[in-house]
Formats: sequence, structure tokens, C-alpha cells
Amino acid sequence: MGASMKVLGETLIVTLDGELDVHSASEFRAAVTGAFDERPRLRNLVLLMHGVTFVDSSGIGAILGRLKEVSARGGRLAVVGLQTPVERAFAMSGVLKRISVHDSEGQALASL
Amino acid sequence: MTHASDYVIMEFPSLPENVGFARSAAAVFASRLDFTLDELDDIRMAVSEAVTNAVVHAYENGPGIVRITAEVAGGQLVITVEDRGKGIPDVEWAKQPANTTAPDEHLGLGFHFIGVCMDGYDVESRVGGGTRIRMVKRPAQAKRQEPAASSSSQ
Ligand SMILES: Nc1ncnc2c1ncn2[C@@H]1O[C@H](COP(=O)(O)OP(=O)(O)OP(=O)(O)O)[C@@H](O)[C@H]1O
Ligand SMILES: [Mg+2]
Repeated sequence: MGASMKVLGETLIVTLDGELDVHSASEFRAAVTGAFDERPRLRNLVLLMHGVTFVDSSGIGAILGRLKEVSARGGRLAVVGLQTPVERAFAMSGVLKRISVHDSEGQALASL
Repeated sequence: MTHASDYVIMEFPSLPENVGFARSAAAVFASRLDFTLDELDDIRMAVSEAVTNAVVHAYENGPGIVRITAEVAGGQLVITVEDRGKGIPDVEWAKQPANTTAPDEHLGLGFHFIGVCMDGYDVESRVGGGTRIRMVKRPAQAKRQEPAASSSSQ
């Protein structure tokens, strides 16, 4: 899995690629938590997921873990660009009730 | 249609890096049946969940061996994932969605996903002995064409 990050004001924007499973989820968790720890001003998280081809329960768990992290900072999580298999995994897990999903980065940023 | 069964057996050390290999290999093997792309995604998901459970729960991220058998028999795919790890004290409890023994990191979704993605599965487990999960799926196209598939063996 690949991940690149940028900061926009109080928002951390992370671009994810590849497969988010038990192996890559720990890298993802460490990267996001590290960025939040370094920059106390950050409180929102946007995940750009167009390039993600697979997510399983470990990936969903890692994303929900980040939701807890931003909620603790009084911020929000928005997710962008779910491929069909990824959207099905989100739907199966029931997290769509708790996570806002968008078609574009602009839409996600506007939702925060 | 042929009645001969075909199979692959894979064995690998319990490492998170191997979960991706296992689900991809299982999907490649499964594609010799007439599964749709969505169904192959389901198979990837189920194998990913079963193997991840072996790595994180059975062996608690320590050393161990995971063994997978994928078999095509009678027009259906049968996948078993086996470990010799710590075992599950209460399988019926573990199967329920949101039940997990690791609530800090896990959501308790693995067995739920397996149940949604496969036609059926069963779990045999012994505390201190290990766990074996057997999962079955038949292509939906085949289900429509020959609802009484077992009669084809006559
Ligand atoms: N192979 C196994 N060996 C030992 N215990 C297992 C095994 N598979 C599952 N379990 C037990 O069953 C519980 C439920 O498993 P399930 O995959 O449904 O959820 P989880 O792994 O806890 O969470 P998630 O899959 O959402 O990350 C686990 O918490 C664990 O206690
Ligand atoms: Mg699991």
C-alpha cells in the first residue's frame, strides 16, 4: 500500500493506494497518528481512496480508529472515492452510517 | 462437465505480509469456476478474514503455520484455512457480528464478512489445538443453470 500526505490548515489529507488489510493497516495507522502527534493544530482527516482496490475488516477497523482519533480532537473524517469492492466492504460493515463518503476532494473539504 | 476434483494446498508462516498473497492466490484458483468479478471479490474477502484471524488471534502475531486448501469439486469451491494456534473457546459467540476478544483494535466483523461473502462456512476449533474454517461457494450462474447440482454425478 502507498500513502502520501498533505496538510491544509487544520486538515490532514491522505492519499491511499493498493490494498488496505492487516499488513498495510498498521502502516496507515502509524502514518496518520504520527502526523497528528507532530501537528497539534490538525483535527480533520480526509482519505482519498480512489486508488484503493481492497479493504477488509482490518482496513475498516483502522479507518474507524482514525475516526475516533479525529473525534477526540473535535474534528471530522471524510472519505473520497470508493471503488466498488471497497464500497461493498463499507456497506457490509455498517460503517456508512458513521462515515461521510464523497465523490471529490472539494466536496469532502466542504463537508468538514 | 468433468467430475474430477482439482485442488491446491498452500502453507506459509503466520505473517501479515502473507495475507495478501493468500487471498490473491485463492481468487486465481477460484477463477477456474464461472465466478463473476463480484464473486471473486467475495472470495478474496473471506480468505483475507480467515487468514488474518489465524495471524492475529490464533498465533497472536507470533510464529506459526497457516495452511490453506482450495478445492473445486462438484462445481463448487471449497476453501479451508487451518491453524495450530490457541483455538476459540466459544465458536458460536465468536461468529456473532461485533463480538471480538480484541476490542481495542478489532470490530468483530471477520466472521460476519465470511458469512455474507460465502454460501456457507463452518468452524471447528479446540482450545490449545487450533482452528479450521471450511468455506463453500458456488458460482451464481451455475446455481441458476443446475439448481439440483448433485444430480449431475449420476
Ligand atoms: N483462528 C482463530 N484462532 C483463535 N481465535 C480466533 C480465530 N478466529 C477468530 N477468533 C476469535 O473470534 C473472534 C471473532 O473473530 P472475527 O474475525 O469475527 O472478529 P475480529 O477478528 O475480532 O475482528 P475483525 O475481524 O473485525 O478485525 C476474535 O476476536 C477471536 O477471539
Ligand atoms: Mg477477524
